Amino acid sequence: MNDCIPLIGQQMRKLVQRWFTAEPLVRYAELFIEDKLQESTKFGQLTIIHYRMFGGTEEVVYQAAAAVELFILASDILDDLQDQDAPAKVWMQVPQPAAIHVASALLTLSQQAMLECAMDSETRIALAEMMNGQILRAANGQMIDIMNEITDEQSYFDMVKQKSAALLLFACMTGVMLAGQSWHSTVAEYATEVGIAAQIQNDLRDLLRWDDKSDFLKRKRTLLTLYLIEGEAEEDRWINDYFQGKLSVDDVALNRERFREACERTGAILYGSVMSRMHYNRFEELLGSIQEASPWKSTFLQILNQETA
Amino acid sequence: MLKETIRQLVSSTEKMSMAMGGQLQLAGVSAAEQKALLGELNNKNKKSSGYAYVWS
Repeated sequence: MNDCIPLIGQQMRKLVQRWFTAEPLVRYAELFIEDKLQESTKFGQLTIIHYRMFGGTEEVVYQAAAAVELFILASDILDDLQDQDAPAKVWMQVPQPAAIHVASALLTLSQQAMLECAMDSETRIALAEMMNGQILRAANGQMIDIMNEITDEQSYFDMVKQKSAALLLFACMTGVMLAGQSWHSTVAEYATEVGIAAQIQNDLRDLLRWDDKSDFLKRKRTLLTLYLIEGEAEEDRWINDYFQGKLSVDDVALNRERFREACERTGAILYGSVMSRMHYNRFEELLGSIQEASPWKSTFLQILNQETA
Repeated sequence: MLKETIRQLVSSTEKMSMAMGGQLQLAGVSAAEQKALLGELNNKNKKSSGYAYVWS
């Protein structure tokens, strides 16, 4: 699948050159795309593999993958602007109004690119409905996440299914539907499972960091921080106190090692790993149940396992 | 129930060793949870968990 990565990039640039005419819009969009291509195009590759898996043979899939990646790029930009925690990213180093505008334009470009891919109007309508449906689900989940409105495990999983899993589902189902198939419920289910597994992995990473992206320092409620604050050990009361605002960032600033030790000792890390693995196992089970997936399984797993720069 | 089981395991070396050896009865833990738990316990020292981050 590595050979299709340059083709996705090429299509992304082509779309920008075709639809953007204002010089600064082209310049910033190209700059952002180059940054994105250095990082990962997993979502676009998932579109391509699903298209091939379900019998698609046309080159148009590269434009569909570019459409998916343009959407992911726009979401990444908006996410960083919302969180203000990625100062090194190129879109955080340009005037903010320009970054917001480019992200909005990329969202529409992504839709336009997708509409152009379908061979007939029936597929076009089905694709557009699926795309908008999943993107709106992701938008709902993102809002709950931004507002930190998670109260328990159930609301965490509801949010993750919307925010994270919907985007994976969108990438996979684009390939399926472009290949002429209708909505595939097993693909939808396994995309959701792998989305949950990956989000928990991200939460594990963000639990232990001690910077602007630290879930603990940001008092962000995740599966793992909920586990920690539910703990009853007296020696870990400070964690709960911090979450309740009884302690400030300055009060806990020097507690990095103490926090890491608590995450290990209480089983928070083990719990997250087990939950993530359980959803990943379910994904593998479902993948194994689809006959069409059999020849593509190792490539599929390879895409998921690609390291992100 | 998985949560309570994990809290118990990490607080007892003996229970943890038994669980790692597959000798502990994990009441109230589903088959899928048990499989994942044993998978994690037995892979604890391996570098890769088998899958990477989808998001950066």
